[in-house]
Amino acid sequence: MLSLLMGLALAQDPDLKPQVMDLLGQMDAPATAEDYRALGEGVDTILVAVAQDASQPKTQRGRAVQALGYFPSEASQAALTEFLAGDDSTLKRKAVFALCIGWDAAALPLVEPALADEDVQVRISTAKALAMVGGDAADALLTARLEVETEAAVKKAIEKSLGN
Amino acid sequence: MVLLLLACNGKDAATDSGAPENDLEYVDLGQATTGDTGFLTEDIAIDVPDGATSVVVHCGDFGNDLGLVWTLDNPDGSSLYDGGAGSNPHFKSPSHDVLVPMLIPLTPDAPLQAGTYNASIYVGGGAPVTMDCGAVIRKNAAGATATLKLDFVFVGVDGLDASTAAEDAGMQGVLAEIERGLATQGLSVTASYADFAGDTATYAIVDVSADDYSEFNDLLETANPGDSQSLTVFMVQDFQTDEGATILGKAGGPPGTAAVGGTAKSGMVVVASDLASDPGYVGRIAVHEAGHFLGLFHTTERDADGTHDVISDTPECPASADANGNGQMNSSECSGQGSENVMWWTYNGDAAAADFSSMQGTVLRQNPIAR
Repeated sequence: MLSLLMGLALAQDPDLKPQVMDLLGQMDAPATAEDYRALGEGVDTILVAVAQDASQPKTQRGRAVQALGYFPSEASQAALTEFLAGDDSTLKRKAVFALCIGWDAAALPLVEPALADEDVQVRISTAKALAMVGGDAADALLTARLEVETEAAVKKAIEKSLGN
Repeated sequence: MVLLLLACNGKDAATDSGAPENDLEYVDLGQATTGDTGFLTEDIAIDVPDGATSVVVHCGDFGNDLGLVWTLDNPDGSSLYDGGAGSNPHFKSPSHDVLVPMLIPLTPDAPLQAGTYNASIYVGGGAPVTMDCGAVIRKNAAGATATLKLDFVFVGVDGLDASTAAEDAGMQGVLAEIERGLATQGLSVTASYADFAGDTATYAIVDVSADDYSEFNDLLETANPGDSQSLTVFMVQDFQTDEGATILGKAGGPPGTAAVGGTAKSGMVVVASDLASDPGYVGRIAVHEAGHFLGLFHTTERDADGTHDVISDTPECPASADANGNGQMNSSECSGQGSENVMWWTYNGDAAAADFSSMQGTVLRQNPIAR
């Protein structure tokens, strides 16, 4: 699936990728969902290609992963699930946010394991991303994690997400 | 507001810049209040002595409301800036939370004048606000060269701390790109390294939202605790919005409260996650943010609405260059018209070496912390 998406990206309007790269490299503030969507069709396939490209700066790959949440589709979910299962904690954190943005409560089964990730920052980011989802199911995950979490910064993030 | 104590284990690569200190005068400008005049303060008088080069003014704290300079009049009574005017060729004031910083001059086209400037500040939110105002006046002249001292503070950056920074290839690569970018305008750099002694687990990733930059502000309030003539650069793992989108770097201000520590505009933050693999890229971001802190704005803003900086020798990319009509000034569309400048709005990987213009260099060297 990913190779198909990357092939599609190569077949895109050659003017589109430089525009996407400009947004991924924006200084001082990140581009918004509206900024990416305003570029029209094909942005998501370019985002997947950039996210997969290890030669790109990590921050731009992370921005690409996160922005996939603005383009919820089976293909982007497949890509995000791969990042979630990978060993790069930055891309994993961004995938958690993207899934929560794009799939809301339907993302909970996918992101739940990240609440117990060995990386403290992944756990903190997951707690924060679940606050975006909200609702009883997300709160139940956060409450369950709070009972076993030992890291103070993670507990603080969970409690904030729970509104405590 | 979280109060952080910065008890860093400082380890200077060079004990100090070696350059003589600038002759700075710190002035208490008293309080300014909004309310009876609507959302505007009364005039704030800023007395500038003969021969002074630049002045940094700061007024706050007004919390999460947004404030900006509304009017600024020259000593001769003419207007340097009017927030209600359509065109202000020599001064800019974006909106800020917590406090309004201003730097005079922002362009060599309108050099600092001796006498009394009068400024008014607008603060939204509707409730009366009383602010404490102060100023730092640089009394000595700026030359063709200067030294900028950078105080790097590492906030939970994997594999890097103050004890290893001087030998770390990635960190030294970042520094080399900063030196390269600033050297084009006669600025040399010295660096010191320290570890953040606050809550690293919380601040390693700085989290902000559209209406809450408190983590960023709290971090910057730990910058430059001794009011030194230096710029504190916090190197962090990530800096993200509440949707998880990364902010590559951000300076207090712009402009920052140079030579004034302990404010929400007293330093800058750079994401260091590419430090080992692409230090030149991280260095380019750091140079861009340092430019903001020292008083520079984007040469042309992203949106194709004709917004440019106030420096007359920087290329301006006209809205008509938006060939594809997407409303954005893309790097490729503005090739040769500013996208190669380090203060371009986005990282332009196609520009082999992003540099400053001559007049941008003058603004950098005139800052109270460039000595």
